[in-house]
Amino acid sequence: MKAFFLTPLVIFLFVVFLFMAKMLETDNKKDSPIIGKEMPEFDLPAGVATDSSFNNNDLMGKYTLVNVFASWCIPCKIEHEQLLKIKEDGKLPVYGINWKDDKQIVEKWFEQKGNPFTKVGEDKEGKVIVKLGVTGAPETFLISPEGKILYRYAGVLNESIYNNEILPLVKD
Amino acid sequence: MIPAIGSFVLIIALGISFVQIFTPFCKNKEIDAKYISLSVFLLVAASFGCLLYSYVTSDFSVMNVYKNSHTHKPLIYKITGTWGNHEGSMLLLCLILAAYSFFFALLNKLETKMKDIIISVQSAVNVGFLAFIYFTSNPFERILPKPQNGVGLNPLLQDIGLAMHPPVLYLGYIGFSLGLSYSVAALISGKADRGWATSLKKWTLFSWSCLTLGIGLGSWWAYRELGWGGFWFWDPVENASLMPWLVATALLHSLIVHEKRESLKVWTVLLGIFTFALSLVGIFLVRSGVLTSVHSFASDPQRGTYILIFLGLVVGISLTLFAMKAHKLKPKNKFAPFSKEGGILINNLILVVLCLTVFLGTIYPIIVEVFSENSVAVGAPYFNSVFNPIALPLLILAGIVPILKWKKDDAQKVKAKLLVPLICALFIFGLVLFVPDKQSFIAAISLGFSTWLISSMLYSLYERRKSSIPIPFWGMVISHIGLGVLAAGITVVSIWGQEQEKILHANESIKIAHYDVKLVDMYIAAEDDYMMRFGNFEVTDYTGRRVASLQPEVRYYPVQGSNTTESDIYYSLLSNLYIAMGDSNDKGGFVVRVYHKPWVNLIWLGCVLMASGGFIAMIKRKK
Repeated sequence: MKAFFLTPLVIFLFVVFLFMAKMLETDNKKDSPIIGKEMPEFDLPAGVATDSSFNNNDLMGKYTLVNVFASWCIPCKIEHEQLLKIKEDGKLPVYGINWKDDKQIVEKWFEQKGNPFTKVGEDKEGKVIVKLGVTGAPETFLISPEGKILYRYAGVLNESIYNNEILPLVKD
Repeated sequence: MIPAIGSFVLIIALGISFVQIFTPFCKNKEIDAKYISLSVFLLVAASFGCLLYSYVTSDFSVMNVYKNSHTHKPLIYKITGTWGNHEGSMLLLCLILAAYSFFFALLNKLETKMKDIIISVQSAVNVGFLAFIYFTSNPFERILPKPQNGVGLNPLLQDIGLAMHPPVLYLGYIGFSLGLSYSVAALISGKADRGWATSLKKWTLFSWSCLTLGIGLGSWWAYRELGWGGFWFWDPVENASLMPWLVATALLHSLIVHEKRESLKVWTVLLGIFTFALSLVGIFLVRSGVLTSVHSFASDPQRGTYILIFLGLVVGISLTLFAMKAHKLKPKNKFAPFSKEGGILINNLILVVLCLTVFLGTIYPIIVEVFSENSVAVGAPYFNSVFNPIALPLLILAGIVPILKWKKDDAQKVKAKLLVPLICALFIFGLVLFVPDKQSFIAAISLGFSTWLISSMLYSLYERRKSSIPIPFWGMVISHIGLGVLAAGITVVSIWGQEQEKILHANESIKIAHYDVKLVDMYIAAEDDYMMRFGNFEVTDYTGRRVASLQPEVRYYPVQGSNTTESDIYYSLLSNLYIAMGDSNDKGGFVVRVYHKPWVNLIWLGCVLMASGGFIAMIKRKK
């Protein structure tokens, strides 16, 4: 064996090591950089079944969930039932950001299936969506009483995520 | 029922492949390897058929179909949707791998020992991929209750160019698995003779041509569909396909030396391993999510870990073998530096250096993130300024090396042969340099080089006009001319391409190159699965003659809530006028982008020529 012929193997192992290191890092940092930051300033016009505008003040003084949804988003319709359960549960009020949507369609939807939200704000231009770094609907954020973002979940929320990941973060 | 069968046959295929790793070394071979390979191929094909069936019949109880299809989708995209997602595309990849293994077992004429090792390695690779599908990405996973309808396919992916590019690309990537298997066999048996090289060259030619076509198709899709008017973005996923291509090109050339002169053996074997290693790295980069790219495609750390382990095992073992055994592969013949072998070796070094620059640029962000807290992005400026100057000399070499003699050539004789191409190249160089208003030194150099390559190839055909020209020589000439055409296209479109962006109202126009583009009016319409807004544009040339009317669209897909741009293109012979529509503003105006892309069609033509040359070179020499 000539040492020279070892070179390709050594280079290859270094590259594999790099990938491995990067994978481990990606695992820890899976969450969005917005976690731990203040909820961005926002003030959205009132949406479905809401009579005043929805802004940062609504979220102060209690733990809240903020859910990004739309009637054109099929997974949101699947998630809807879970949100209704959370409302029933009564531990966390859920606020909705209605993304690029038609109020009347949402009204009809809620008439049939129920309204899980304490308040809904309409984000027609997706301004707040961009600030929150939302990649697609549905997405859910847990906000602390001081207005800090504690947790983010992209995708359809289910019972086990609610119980095992969200509720443990809520301190009585 | 059907999905259950699909899943079941997959695991049987996995089992048989596993056994086949060892069967070639059993003492009494009762069943020929080709029947075992055939059975694996048929089983994987059956499994793929089941998935295809689930897509065509819109069986939404299958998670994969639910996530990626919709009843409103046209049938053709339901079919192509089968591989328009992570799980399905992996199954397609396995099908192609099984097909390669089967055809190898069926067609090869290698000696038994060599053949046994290759079949065994192919089966091991097969096991790796099948297990990957079965345990981390099973396309037949079910959901209950069965949803009413699917959630569609990414509308960007509803395009025929895109639908065709994964199968063609995989035919390339996966064909290189044979390069690795052949190399391992050469290392274990301690020999790699002419027959070995001839046989591997065929497979490599085929895979290389497919990869060339696949990359070309991908680029063509991005050009038309992404609405950016570019043909190459140095995106990590594009780089992932370019790297194996560069090394495979090197492999192809060193195989020629190996076949003719039995030199460069160690080097060929190493390239054989690295070509497939880079294909696997490509698969890893795309599917693990360690790099972000426009191809955000099923990134999942668990899958990434699996592929990384698989990559580490396959390539790690091969390279360990290389370290232990490579010294046994001794070259038979020596050659002078000024010879065809010498030229091909320089070409090889340049290709490998090119691959390294792409590799460094692609993984540099990872290196920085692993060793520091910062993060960086490496973009097109790096690649353009590092890659292009290194690539240019290749054009010169590709024009000289084919006319050099094996072993040793005489510089005086070569000079005489190169006189004609030199004159052509200088003529074009001067012509470009003195074109009024459009001078560009870089373009003059680059077009001069392309002319050199093309004219030298044509001249070599002219010189051989009296003897019969072997078919592989035709193939080489066509491929090399393709490279020249590609380079010319890239040069002209990058340097003289124009773009303009403006907000247009009805009856306003944009002037670009020698065209005048007028927005006549706008319409809104609805189709089965999307709504669209399209503009009616009229294009007139400088004489005021109307040359085309174009209708670019913006499509809105309500199911996904996403927009896509469908640009519309006016094709003149070589150049394109490309219009893309953007958002509307409050006052009824539309953002309109117009590009003039001179000679851009040469890029795709170049790719097609290169690939056809490869296919032609596979045709057997007359005896």
